[in-house]
Amino acid sequence: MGYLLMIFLAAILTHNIALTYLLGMCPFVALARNLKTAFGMSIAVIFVVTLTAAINWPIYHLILLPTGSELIYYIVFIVVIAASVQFVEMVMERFFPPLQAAFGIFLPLITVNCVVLAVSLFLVLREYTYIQSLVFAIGSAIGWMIAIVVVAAINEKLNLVGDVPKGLKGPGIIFIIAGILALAFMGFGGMVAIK
Amino acid sequence: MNFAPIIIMNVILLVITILLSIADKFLVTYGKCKITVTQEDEHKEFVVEGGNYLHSELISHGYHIQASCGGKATCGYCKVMVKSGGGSMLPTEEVFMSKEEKKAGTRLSCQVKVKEDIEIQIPDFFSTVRNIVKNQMYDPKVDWQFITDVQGESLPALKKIKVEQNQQDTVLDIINQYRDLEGPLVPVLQKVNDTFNYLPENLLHYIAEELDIPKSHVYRIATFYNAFSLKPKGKYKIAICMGTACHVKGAAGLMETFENELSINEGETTEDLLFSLEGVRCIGCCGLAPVLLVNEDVHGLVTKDRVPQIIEMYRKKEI
Repeated sequence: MGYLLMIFLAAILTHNIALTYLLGMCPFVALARNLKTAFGMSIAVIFVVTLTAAINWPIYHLILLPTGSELIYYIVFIVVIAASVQFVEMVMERFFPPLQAAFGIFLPLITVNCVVLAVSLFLVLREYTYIQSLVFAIGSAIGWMIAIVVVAAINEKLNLVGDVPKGLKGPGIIFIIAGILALAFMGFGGMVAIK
Repeated sequence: MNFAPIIIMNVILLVITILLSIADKFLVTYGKCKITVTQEDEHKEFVVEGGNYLHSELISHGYHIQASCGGKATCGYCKVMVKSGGGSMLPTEEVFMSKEEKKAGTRLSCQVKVKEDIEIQIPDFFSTVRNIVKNQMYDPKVDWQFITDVQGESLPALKKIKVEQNQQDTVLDIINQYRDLEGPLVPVLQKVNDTFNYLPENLLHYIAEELDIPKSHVYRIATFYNAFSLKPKGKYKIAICMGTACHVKGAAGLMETFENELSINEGETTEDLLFSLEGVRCIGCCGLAPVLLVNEDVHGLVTKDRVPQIIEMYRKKEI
C-alpha cells in the first residue's frame, strides 16, 4: 500500500511526465493558452491513459511474454491505443453527446499524444504489477494535468496583464513558463524515489 | 525461426478490426434520417442512413459541394446553411466563419454528422460562377462585377473607364513608340510613370486594352517594381538613407525633421504634389552620412538646421 502511494506521488511530483520527461509537449504547447481547453484535454488524457494502461498490461504479460514476442510491444501498444481511442469516441458520440462536445473533440489528438504511449512503455520498463500500473497511469496523467493547467492559468493571467513582449506571445512564453515550472518541480526531487 | 511475433501481431490486428467493425455496426447507427435541401428555390428531400457526414451524403445525391481538402475541415469551402438539426458548431469550424455566417447557421458540411432530420440550404454563389465558366462568358480582359437582378440571375457588367482626351493622347504617343517591341509593357509603364509621376488606375486599364494584355498582368508588373507607384508621387522625391552609418549619424532625427517641415509622414506626398518622402537603405556613400537624395541630387553631411534650406531651394525652382 505504501509503495502504491509512493508510485502515485512520484508520478505526479518527482517524475512528472510533462516537466521531468518533457513528454506530450505538442498538445501541451498548443492547448496551454486557455484554461478551459487545457482542462478538457487533460480530463481526456487521464481517461485514455488509464484505459490503455489497463488494456496494455494484460496484453504484454498474458500474450506477448508467454509467446516470446515481446519485441513487437511498441507496435502493439500503438495499435491498441489508436483502436481504444476510436472505440471510446464512438461510445461517447452515441450515448453521451454533451461529454463528446466538452472533451470528445480532443480524443483524436490524444491518439498521437506520446504521454499515452510513454506510460504504457514505462509499465514494461519498470516491471510494475497490474495494480501498480493503474496507479502509475492515473498518477502520470494527473501530473500532466497539473502541469498543463498551471501553465495555462499562468499564461492566461499574463495575457490579461498584457505585459508579454510581442515576440514571446504564444508558444514562446509557454516554453518559458514550463521551464520555470520544471525548475520548481525539481524542488520535490528528494521527496519520493522510484526506480 | 520464430514466427510467433508475426502471428500474434496479425491476431491482435484481426481482433481489433473485428471489435471495431462490430462497434461501428451497433453504435454508429441512427436509423433513417430525412435531409431537406433547398437550392435556388428548389426543394428536394431524401432519406439516408444516419451516421455519415452531411458532405458525403450531399455528394452521393448529386450536389456538387466544393471541398478540396476532402472533408478534413481545412479548406472551408463546403459551407451550407443548416436550418434545423445537426447540433451545434464545432470548434474546428469556427475559424472559417464570419460573425454573419455564424448567425445564419452556416456550417461546414464535412463536419456535420447526420444523426437526425436535417434541413439545409445551399448558397448559390458557386453555381453562378460555374455557369459563367461553362458558358465561356468569362473574359480576363474585362473588369468584373456581379449584378444580381430580381430573378437571381447574375450578369457580368462592364465598368466604364474614364480617360481624359489629353491623357489619352499622351499615353497613345508613348504606346506607339514601343508597340512593336517584344515585351512593350515595362518601357511603356516607365515612360508613363515618368510623365505622370505615378501610374493612374484609369491609364492602366487603357494601356491593357491598347496593348491587348490582360489587366491582371499589367497590375502584376505595376505593383512588382519599386520604380512604379500606384499612388501620386511628388515631383521631388526625397530619399533619406536609413542605412547603418547614416542611422548612427542621426538619420532618424533627420526623417523626423523632414516630416515636421513638410507635415507629412514617411511614404507620403505633400498636397501640392511637390515633395514625397521615403526612407531607403544604403545608397553607397557612407562617408557623407547622414546622406539624402532629392531625385538625382546628393546632399551629404546633412544637419537638422539645413533641412529648411534644402526644401526652400527646391520650392524656389518652382516659382
